[in-house]
Amino acid sequence: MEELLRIMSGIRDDIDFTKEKKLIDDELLDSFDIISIVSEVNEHFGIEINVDDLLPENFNSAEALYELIKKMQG
Amino acid sequence: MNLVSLSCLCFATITVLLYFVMPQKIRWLVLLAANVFFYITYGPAYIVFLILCAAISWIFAIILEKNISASAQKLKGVETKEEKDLLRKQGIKQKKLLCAVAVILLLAPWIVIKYGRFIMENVSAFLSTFSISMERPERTLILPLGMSFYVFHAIGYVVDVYRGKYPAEKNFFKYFTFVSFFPHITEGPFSRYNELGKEIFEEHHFSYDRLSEGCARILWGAYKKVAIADILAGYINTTLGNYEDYGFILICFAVVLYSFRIYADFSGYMDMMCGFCHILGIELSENFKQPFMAKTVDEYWRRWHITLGKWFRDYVFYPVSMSKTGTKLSKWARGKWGAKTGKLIAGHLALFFVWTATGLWHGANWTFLVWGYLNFIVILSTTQLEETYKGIKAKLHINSDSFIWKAFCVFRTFILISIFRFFSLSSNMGTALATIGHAFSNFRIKEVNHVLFFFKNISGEYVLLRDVGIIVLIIVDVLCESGKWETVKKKCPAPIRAMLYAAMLLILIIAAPGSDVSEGFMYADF
Repeated sequence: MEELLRIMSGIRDDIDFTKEKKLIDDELLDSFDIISIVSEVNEHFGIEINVDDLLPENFNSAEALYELIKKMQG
Repeated sequence: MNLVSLSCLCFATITVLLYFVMPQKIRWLVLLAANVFFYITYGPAYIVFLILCAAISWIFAIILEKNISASAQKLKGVETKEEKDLLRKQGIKQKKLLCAVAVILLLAPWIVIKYGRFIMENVSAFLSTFSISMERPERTLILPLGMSFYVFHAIGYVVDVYRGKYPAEKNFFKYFTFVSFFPHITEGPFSRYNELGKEIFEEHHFSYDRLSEGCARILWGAYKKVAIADILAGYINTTLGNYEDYGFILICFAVVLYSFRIYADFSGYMDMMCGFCHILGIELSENFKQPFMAKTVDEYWRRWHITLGKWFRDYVFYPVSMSKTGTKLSKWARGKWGAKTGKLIAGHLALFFVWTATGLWHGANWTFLVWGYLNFIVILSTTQLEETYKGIKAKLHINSDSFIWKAFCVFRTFILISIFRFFSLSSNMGTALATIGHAFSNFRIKEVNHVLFFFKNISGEYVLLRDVGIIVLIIVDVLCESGKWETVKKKCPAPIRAMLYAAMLLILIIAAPGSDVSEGFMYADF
């Protein structure tokens, strides 16, 4: 989780990813932020998040994204 | 059927009455009948394309769903990881193929009708440079009403089922009610089946509050269309159609007014449709969020025609940027230009596709492509030169949070968007460039006197209506942007509100003869 928070903060240092729960619903992240996060996460965690996984429920918070990563790591 | 007419008012009233008279379970059938009636008033023959498009997408979505569940079943019976991976890959390949066939079948007729002539003309022009002659098409095919919208609705639906976002609809008539839904078929918004479908088929009860709110919004939309957009149309068409007779100031003024015209026209339509649906209890997606308050071109496109932007984001931007090619390109660019550019390069490539598609979606003309690429270049430079801009601002001691800087950014964005419109509103590249060339070589400073009150082709009352309309439009947007609009509406005493509505109605009646209603809504042509 620490690593994920570091990655996300590296892309958007103006957002407190420990608190925000509506990153997509409140449009805090734009499409460029999302593909940057996906690209970094894929590389760092050795997974392959694809376009079908780009659902608001997977990206609304750091916890939700962490759950997706854990699920993909199986 | 003209949307700002007595016949349309009767049609809407009868639809609302029948909708609430019928039992809850079959109310969607009233909407289905209204959709078919609305569509055939524009030309019965064209409904064939609509039915075909709906049938193809409906059938393929069901096949896709069956294919996905069959693959999942097969996986359950396999134990080894290798076999599972192999089956999974086979399943993905099959569903990708099915989805691709559906998308091609849906896009092909639209491309042939909308772009056939454009493609043939350009191929012919290209071949002629090698002295190869090719016959040019003599006539343009007429694009069926709303085809640019319903084809995209159908593609979105098939892709969503392919992605497993929601199950395929088993009842064709229910699905057809969504695709042919008359409030969104001619100009959008681009809706998703899981959102609008749910709204259409869930239970709704009549509400006086919704009736009054909906009617007020319909009135506001009609006012924007008739008293602002249509009155502006005459002046803009005259000025830009005879640009040689005018100088820089009046040509630029006409282009700026065009920005207001297209906003009043398109958002007016949206207000009317959202208002009508609100009466029924159905909420359409909003397409505008005070676009002229945007501080950057990128932000403008998140506020203007929002649902089109979201459609291209979900079905073009993400698939391209996250494709294998996009990922490979990112890795290669990281090694060559560093981590930051590497991360953005796939996004930029996808953005290029998005703006090519956005330009072409608006029309089969090089002017729209140039317009799209101008937007692309400015958005690209905003992300690519972010640090440079920050440095310049720091050197010039500019406070990004100050009102003056924000106002400047809003003004700058509006001017940029208006400049781009030199291309999107011209019939061809030659006219666009000639208009720009003429404007910049003929300043005619005396034209300033004409800007506010005197135009050759418009009488005084209409100028007043136009100016009042634009001012009201700006005030409403400023209030919405500051979050005060709802409070103002609530605090406004009922008699004053009634007087305002009566005034709008009166202005509509006065303005109608001077407006160019025969032009129809601008986005219906796209």
